[in-house]
Amino acid sequence: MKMIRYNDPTNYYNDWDSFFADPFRAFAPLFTPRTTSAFTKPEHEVEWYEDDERFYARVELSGVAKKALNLDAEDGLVRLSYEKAVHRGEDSGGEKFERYLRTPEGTDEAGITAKLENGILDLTFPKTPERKPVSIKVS
Amino acid sequence: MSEKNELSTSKPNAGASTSLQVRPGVVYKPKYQSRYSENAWEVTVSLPGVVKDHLDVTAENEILEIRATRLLDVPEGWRPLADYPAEKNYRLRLDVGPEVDPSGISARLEDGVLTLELPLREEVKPRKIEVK
Repeated sequence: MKMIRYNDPTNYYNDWDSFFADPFRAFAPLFTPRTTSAFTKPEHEVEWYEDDERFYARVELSGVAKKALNLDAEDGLVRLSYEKAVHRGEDSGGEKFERYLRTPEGTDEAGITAKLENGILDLTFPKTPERKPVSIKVS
Repeated sequence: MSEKNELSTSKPNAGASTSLQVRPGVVYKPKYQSRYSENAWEVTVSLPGVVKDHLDVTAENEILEIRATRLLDVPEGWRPLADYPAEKNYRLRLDVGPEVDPSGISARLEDGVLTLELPLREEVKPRKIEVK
């Protein structure tokens, strides 16, 4: 029986001939502009904002009901523990998740507030007096 | 319905007769899950921050297409600490096959999750055969 080596047509790295014929083709995916890709993974699951008084974290948290979410803050971390419905094939059920957010420096943990709406959790971290901007008088 | 059923190609203006057009810029593929029962498929799509007015679901030629835009108001005075997009566009195309009855598809949006119920056609539903 004659053996013929299998060349995977999708893998340029296995195909030495075509690699030398067009060496830059293998790297083409790296240079494809982002805007032409219709399917990109979400980038910012947490967005951070601030004003003079507070820091704000906007967290994507879809599929979590208000009563299924627990928040605690300790040692510079906010723990988000929640239950969410998970479907796999014929199975479905609630699964427990945990996520952590770092509390911004110079904020008062006891004063953290949260609001959950349409799968977006808004967390507010009040700044301590030392962290707030001070206006300086010009004499 | 699994990952491999999904169309990897995209036509930017395919089926763009609806009010929600694909805007220039990045389009995200939302996370989704599916499960099946005897009578229907159920697909849940994660669309955090999306409201009903900015969501468009169409079924055409056995392709289910979901387009959504997240437009979140940033309250006045909030300064972003990084460069966040003002809007986030989502698009998902699923090849649902001929067994789904497109007229019976129902959709529900809750807590940033879109749940689609895709009923199967009568003729493909399992049936019990009586032994005489």
